[in-house]
Amino acid sequence: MLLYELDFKMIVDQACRAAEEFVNIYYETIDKRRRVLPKLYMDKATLVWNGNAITGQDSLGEFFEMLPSSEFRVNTLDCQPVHEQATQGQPTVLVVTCGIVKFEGSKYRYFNQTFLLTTHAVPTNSLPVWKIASDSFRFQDWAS
Amino acid sequence: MGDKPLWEQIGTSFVQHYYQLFDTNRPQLESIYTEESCLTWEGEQFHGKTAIIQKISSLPFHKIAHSITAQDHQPTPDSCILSMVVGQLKADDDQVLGFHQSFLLKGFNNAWVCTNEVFRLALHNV
Repeated sequence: MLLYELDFKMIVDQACRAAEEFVNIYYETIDKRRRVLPKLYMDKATLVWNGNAITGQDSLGEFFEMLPSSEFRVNTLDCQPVHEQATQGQPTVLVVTCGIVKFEGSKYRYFNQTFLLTTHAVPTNSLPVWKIASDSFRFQDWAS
Repeated sequence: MGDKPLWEQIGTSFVQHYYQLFDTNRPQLESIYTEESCLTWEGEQFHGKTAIIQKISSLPFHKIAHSITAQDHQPTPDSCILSMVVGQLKADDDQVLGFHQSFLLKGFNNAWVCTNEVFRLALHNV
C-alpha cells in the first residue's frame, strides 16, 4: 500500500474514533440531559430539522426544550475526514447516522442525521473538544 | 429560484445534476470529484476520483432511477455546502428501496465539487 494511502487510513481511523465517541455522547445527551445539548453545538451552528433551519445556541436551546422527550437508537454510523482544502486547516469530520427514534406520544420512526464536527479549543482543557458546526435531521418516512 | 438563498440554488442544482448523471451515465460523474474526495458506500470507503468512479460504475445493475423525497442544504462555516437527500430508488426489476445520501460540496475554480459523500440504503423498510 502506498504511504499516502496508509496516512489516509490513519486519518480515517482517528476521525471515526472521534465520531463514534461524539455520537454516543450526542444521543445520550438528547435523550437524558436535553438542557445541555446546545453546548455540543458551536455558537453559530445551524440545525436543519425536517427542513426548518435553526441557528445559534440560544435558538437551539429553545427548540430542544419544545421537542418531546426522546429515545434514540442508532443503527448505522458512517464517518469521513473532511480534507483541509475544504476546511481551512480546521480538523473536520462528516458523520452520518441512521436509526430509529421514539418521541413521547408518537410511534417509532426512522431517521437520518448528518453532522459536520470540528475541533474547538477550550481554555480550561489541553485537548480540543469536538463540536457540531452543521447538522441536518430528517425522518426517513417524513411524508407519511 | 430567485428568492432562494444561493446555497439552496447550488445544492438543488447539484442534486439534480448528480442523479441525472447517475441514472443515465455514471462514468460522467467523474467531473464532480477530486483526488481528495471520499465516498462511503454502504459502509465501504473509497478515496479519490478514480476509486470512486470505479465503484459507482461497477454497481451491479443496468437500469436505475432515483426519486427525491426531500433535500436539505446549508452553508457551513468554511463556505462549503452540506446537502442531505432522502429518497427512493429502483434498480432493474428489484423492489423500490429507500435511501439517504449526504454530500459536502466545495467551490473550486468556479465549479462545485463533492469532497465527501455517504450513501446508505434504508433496508429497514423492506
